[in-house]
Amino acid sequence: MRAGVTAAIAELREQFAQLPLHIYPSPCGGAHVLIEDIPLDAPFAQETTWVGFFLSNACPEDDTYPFWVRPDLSFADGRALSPPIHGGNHFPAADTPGLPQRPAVMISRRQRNQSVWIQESPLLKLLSVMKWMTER
Amino acid sequence: MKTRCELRMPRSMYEELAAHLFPGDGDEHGAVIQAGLLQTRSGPVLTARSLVLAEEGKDWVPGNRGYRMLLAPFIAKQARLCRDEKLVYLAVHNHGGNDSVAFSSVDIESHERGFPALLDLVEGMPVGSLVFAPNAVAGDIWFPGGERLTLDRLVVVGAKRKILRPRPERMAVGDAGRFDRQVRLFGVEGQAILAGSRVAIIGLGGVGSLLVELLARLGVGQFVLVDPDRVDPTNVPRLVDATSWDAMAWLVDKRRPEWLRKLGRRLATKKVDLSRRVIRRANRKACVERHFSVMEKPEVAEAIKDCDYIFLAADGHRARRLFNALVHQYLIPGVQMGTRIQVDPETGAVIDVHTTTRPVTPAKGCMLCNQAVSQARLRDESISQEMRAGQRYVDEDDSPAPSVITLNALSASQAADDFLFYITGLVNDDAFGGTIQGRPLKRTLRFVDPRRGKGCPDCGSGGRLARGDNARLPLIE
Ligand SMILES: [Zn+2]
Ligand SMILES: [Zn+2]
Repeated sequence: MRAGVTAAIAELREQFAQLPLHIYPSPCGGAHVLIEDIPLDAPFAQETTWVGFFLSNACPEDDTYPFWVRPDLSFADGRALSPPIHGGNHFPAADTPGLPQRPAVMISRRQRNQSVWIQESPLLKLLSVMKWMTER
Repeated sequence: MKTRCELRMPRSMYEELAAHLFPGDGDEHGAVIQAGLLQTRSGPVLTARSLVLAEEGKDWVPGNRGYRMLLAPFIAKQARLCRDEKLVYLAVHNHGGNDSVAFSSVDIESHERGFPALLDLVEGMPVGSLVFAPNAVAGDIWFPGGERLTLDRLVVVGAKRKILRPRPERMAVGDAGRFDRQVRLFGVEGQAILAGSRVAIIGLGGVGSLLVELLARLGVGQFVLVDPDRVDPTNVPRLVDATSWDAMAWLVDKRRPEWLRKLGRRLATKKVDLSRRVIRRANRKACVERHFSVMEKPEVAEAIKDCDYIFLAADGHRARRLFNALVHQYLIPGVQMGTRIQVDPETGAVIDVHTTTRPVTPAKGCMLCNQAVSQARLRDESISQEMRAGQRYVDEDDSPAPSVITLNALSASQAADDFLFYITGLVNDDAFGGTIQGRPLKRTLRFVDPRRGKGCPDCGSGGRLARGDNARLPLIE
C-alpha cells in the first residue's frame, strides 16, 4: 500500500478504534476499507450500518467517494432515497479478491467545488458524509 | 563532471532583497535566506524559500573585525529555524561594484571561524554565505561532512529569467552559422542560452510532438522526454515525422488476427523514440534523455530536477497534480497546454473549441489555486475501468476526445515562444503573465489572470514551496 493510504488507514483506525475495521489491499497500492456498526442517527430507520469505500493510490490527493452502506437503508418517515443516495448498487464496485461483492446503497457525494484546494483526508470526508446524511 | 552549485530564487524575493541591499546609499546591508536543498545529478541546488531582512542597528551592526556583521542572537534564531524546518541557512550581504563580486578576506575568515559551529547547530543541513553586487553574486556553501562549494549561479525565476554569477560569463562568440536569422533577433548570447538549456516535455502526443520540433529547431540543447505510449495509426495525422511504418499500421489493421495486431502494437515506435528522431534531424548535437513511462516515476522527477523549464503536454489530472508540485517544490517554471473540444453528446455537433497555454511559475498560475486540478478527476483516473463502470449511475462517454494538429499548434507555439523570451530574458517586464485561451471558432483570444488562494499546499508559504528534497512529492513512491 502507498504511504498515503497507510496514513489514511491509521487515522481511520484511531477514530473507529471501537468498531470492526477491515482492510483489503489492492494490487495498485490502494485498499478497500469496510467499517461495521457505525451508528446511524435519525432520520434513518436503521440504527447502525456498515460503510465501505476505496482508497486509491492517489490518496490523500483525490476525493474519496463514493461510500457504500447497508442495502436496506431507508428513511424513518418513509421518504424515498434520492440522488446522490442510490439504491440497488454493490460494494465493492468491481471484483476484488477476498472481498465478495455485496448489495449496497451508494452515496456518491463529491467534495464541494471549492475555490481553494482543500485536502480532506478520507476520515474527514467520511465524517462529513455521515453528518450530511443525518441532515437529509 | 564538476559539481555545480545553483541557487534558485523567486523573482519577488529577489526584488525585495535587491531593494534592501541597494537602497541607493552605497552602504552594506544584511539579510538571511532560508532555502530548500535538492540533490541533482549535476550538483546541489538551493531553493530560496524565505527571506529575513536584517534590521539596521539591531540585527546588522558594526563588526568587531569586518565593517558590518549580523548579530549572533539573530544568526542563532534564523539557524534554529533552519534546523527545525530542514532548510539551508544563508547569510547575505552586499559589496560595491556592479558586474562582479567576491568575498573579502575578512568575510572568508568569518566563515572559517563561524560556520563549523553553525553546521553543528543546523544538524545535517548546509550553511553558507552570499555576497551580492547589483549584477553579481558569489557564494561560499559549507556542507555537512566537509565539502565546500562556491556558488556557480543564481537563477531568478519569474516572468523573465535572470542569471547572476560572481563575474560576467565569457560566452563563446562564434559564427552564428545556420542560426543566423534567429540570432538577428536574440543575439549569439541568446543562442548560447538556448544551447545550454535543458527542458522536460511531458507527453509527446499532438501538442508535445510539435513542441519537440519547435524547440529542437530553435537550438535547445538538452531534452528530457516522457511518454508511456507507442505510435498508433490514429496518431499519424498529428505527430511530426510519424509514418504508417512507425504505427505498424499494416499489422495493427482491424482485418488482421489479434495475435498479429498485438505484435504490431509491440513493434510500433515509442513516442519518445520518434521525438528523439525529430530532435536529431534538427540538431545532431542535442542531448536527449528518454523515459518510456508515465511521469509518476522517481527517475522522471530526478531527471526534471535540473531542468530549466517543464512543458506539460499530457492529459490527465494526475500529471497536472505532480507537475504543479514540481514547479513549486523545485522552483522550476513551466507551462501547461491543452485543447478542449466540446461536442454536444446528443447531436455530435461542435459547441466550442478552446486552446490553453497556462504558465505556471512559483509566483503565479498555481493550478490548485485556479481549479485546474480536480480531486474528482484525480479519483476517476485512479480507479480501474471496472470500478468506474461499477459505480456509475449515469452513462458517461468514454470515447477518445477529438484532436487536430492545427489546434495543438496554437498552444504549442505560444508555449515555445513564452519559453524562448523567458529564457533569453527578452520578455517585457510588464508582459501579461497569465493564461492565454484561444477560441479559434470565434477567432478571439482571452487573457485570464490567475488567482492565488490562501493556505495552498503548493504555492502557499506553509506548504511544499521551495522545499526541495525535504517534501514528499504527490503520487510518487
Ligand atoms: Zn563582505
Ligand atoms: Zn496554489
